[in-house]
Amino acid sequence: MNNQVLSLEQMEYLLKLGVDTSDASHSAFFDLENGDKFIASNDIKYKLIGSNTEFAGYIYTLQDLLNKLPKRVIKDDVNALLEVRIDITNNNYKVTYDPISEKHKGIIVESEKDLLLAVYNMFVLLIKKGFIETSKAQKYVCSQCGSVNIQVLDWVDPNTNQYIGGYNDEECWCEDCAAHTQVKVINYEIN
Amino acid sequence: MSKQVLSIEQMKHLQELGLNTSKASMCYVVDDCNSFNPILCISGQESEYLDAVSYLIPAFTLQDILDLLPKNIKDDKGFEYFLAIHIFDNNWNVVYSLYNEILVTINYFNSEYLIDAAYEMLCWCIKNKYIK
Repeated sequence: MNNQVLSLEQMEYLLKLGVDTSDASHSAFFDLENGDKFIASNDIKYKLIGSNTEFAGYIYTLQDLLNKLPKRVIKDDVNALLEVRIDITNNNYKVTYDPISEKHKGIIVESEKDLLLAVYNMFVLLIKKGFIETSKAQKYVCSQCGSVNIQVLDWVDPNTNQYIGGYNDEECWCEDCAAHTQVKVINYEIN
Repeated sequence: MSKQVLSIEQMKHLQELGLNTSKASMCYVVDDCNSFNPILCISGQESEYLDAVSYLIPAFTLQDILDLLPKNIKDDKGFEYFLAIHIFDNNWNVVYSLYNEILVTINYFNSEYLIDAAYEMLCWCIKNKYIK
């Protein structure tokens, strides 16, 4: 999957910008035996992970990122449509939001040899300019597979079923792994 | 999860057109007895799923297709057309157009999914010998 997916560092940066990345189609894992990193499709990752692997993070493909980009942006004097073109000065990919009329403004980022990087740069710019909303939040996931489909034990009043809370254990039940694993906290931060 | 790769039928059609699909980034593991649905995995990880009665079909991602599409093509009059992707009628439009005359195109394909529009363009490029 060379140049097919964002790096873990790029995905970490999106988290810092407040992007909920749990809709990614792929995930990265560490093989704890040899320290290697590998990527797997979220549909079938359960064949490849086990007690010797650790969830490293969600990973976006080019398709994932293009799905996240709005087809049109409208804000203040900007009213423009997404466009990908070839920059004839260097044969690179140029991702822009092309204004729908001369009265409106568009958005441009530097052209890149790698389309994935050009799309990533546009995505980051749209977040920073406020065209894509993000939020500060936390998500609890399985430390082994990264699934959000987990359950934890907590205190409940048995007479009223009132939720009391107080959960402070690191263990969880992962429905997708069908096993007891550890909870991992993913923070989405706004700088 | 959105459509990440071409379907088995689309990949078979590309093979029928004579395209070398061996560099696909992903692949389907297909059971010869149809006892389970095809499994989609990253190329190189298929050994986890292969057995004596299953076989592989390569699966192109959007990135694979864009890597195959020429960035520019010339018609028989020498006009040069450049690859571009637009939004048209809220769908994805993959087009070869003149650089400064975006409405002057040699061909375009429009689809709800970008990968399908890119696939149609890939087929057209092969049929018209822009890709060997």
